[in-house]
Amino acid sequence: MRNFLLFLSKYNAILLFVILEVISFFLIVNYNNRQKEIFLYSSNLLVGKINQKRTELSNYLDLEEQNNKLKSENALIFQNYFNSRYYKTDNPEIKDSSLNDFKIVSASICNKSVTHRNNRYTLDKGTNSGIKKGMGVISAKGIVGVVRKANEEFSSVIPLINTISRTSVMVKGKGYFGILKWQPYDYKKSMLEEIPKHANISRGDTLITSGFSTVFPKGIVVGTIDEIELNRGSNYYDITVNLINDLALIDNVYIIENTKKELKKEVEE
Amino acid sequence: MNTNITNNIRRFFIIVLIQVLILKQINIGWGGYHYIQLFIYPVFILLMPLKTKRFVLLLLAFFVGIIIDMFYDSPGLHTSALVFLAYIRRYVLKFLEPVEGYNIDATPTIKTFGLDWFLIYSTVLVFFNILWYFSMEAFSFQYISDIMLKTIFSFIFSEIIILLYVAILNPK
Repeated sequence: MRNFLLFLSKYNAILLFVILEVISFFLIVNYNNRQKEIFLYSSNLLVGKINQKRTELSNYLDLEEQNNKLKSENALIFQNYFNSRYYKTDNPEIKDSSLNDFKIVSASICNKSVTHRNNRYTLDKGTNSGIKKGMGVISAKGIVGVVRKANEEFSSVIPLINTISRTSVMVKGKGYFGILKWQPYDYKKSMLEEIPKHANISRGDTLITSGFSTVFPKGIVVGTIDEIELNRGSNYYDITVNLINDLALIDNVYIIENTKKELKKEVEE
Repeated sequence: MNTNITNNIRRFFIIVLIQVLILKQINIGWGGYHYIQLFIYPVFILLMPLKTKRFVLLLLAFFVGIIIDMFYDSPGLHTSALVFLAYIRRYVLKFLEPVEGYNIDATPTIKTFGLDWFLIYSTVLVFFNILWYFSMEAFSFQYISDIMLKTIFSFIFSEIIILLYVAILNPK
């Protein structure tokens, strides 16, 4: 008892301090709504954090499955997007899948080169997934290239940054058409040819696919005009283009199949 | 001794009146936040005589805090901050102790210890008082940047007011 009293006299200040603070705390939490809410919330914060971590972990474990799901969902969205631009109609009966021009499959790039003259990408899907030679390849930002050949499991793509790549593009909003060709070795730039010198174009104009070829639907972004030069004696501009895609960085791509390709070729022969 | 007590009672009324009648009305801020709140009541604990028993100081702080809180409609907030100030006062005094030690009957004012000493003494205590107050007000360290901003702005202006109070009324 004597020790206890000694203890009390020695530590009376801190004891009193703690008691008074506890009373204040009690008052704060009981009579101030905001603090009350936070108090209740804070005591749940720990539980919430633990739950969140657990969810994060389980999310991480099925990341691949989720990714694949998202990719195929994206492909579906692209498909609907391209098709809806071709069939703008109020009649719901016309929204029949047989009218869809484009089918889209998602894939990942499993091998690529960007520093050579003839760069190639390899995709992790092939004819088993419906990929055939001549299909267009795009990413979420813009176009990537064209499928050159495909076997059961893999397919090889000629990207924009290959010297044999030729893509028909148009200047958005101005209607001039040209051919996009690549010159080594800058994988962020490309050249636009066959734009006549009377064309009213300026730096920063956006280039989109023309839709003339059966490979790409109309209106996919390709890049922006960087520099415009006119050589003496030439009827055409020499135009440098900034490609919209960083082709060294892309991973996920979508392959476009034009289901009416054969019909179009037939009538054009 | 008696004059000391009556002095302190008078000071208590003056400070509470200044705090709740004048300073409470002043709420300065910008961008939708009230960054500046002015505090003068810490001066009451700052100016208590050195020989005041510690538990008396704590109880007084609690009492003054409750009175201020009644006017501010924030039960416990100011109380908690002022009790904290009263608790750490001894450590700050110990830290600032002059070489020759304290005169046991002295009261910590500008007159007895000089402006420099009082400046440091009040700065440390008032800052912690205000920091504690805003921490309790926010009640969560999620708003740490908000707490710090409010504390710093409020502290600067409160400190000026406290110094003015001590310089003008010149308590003995």
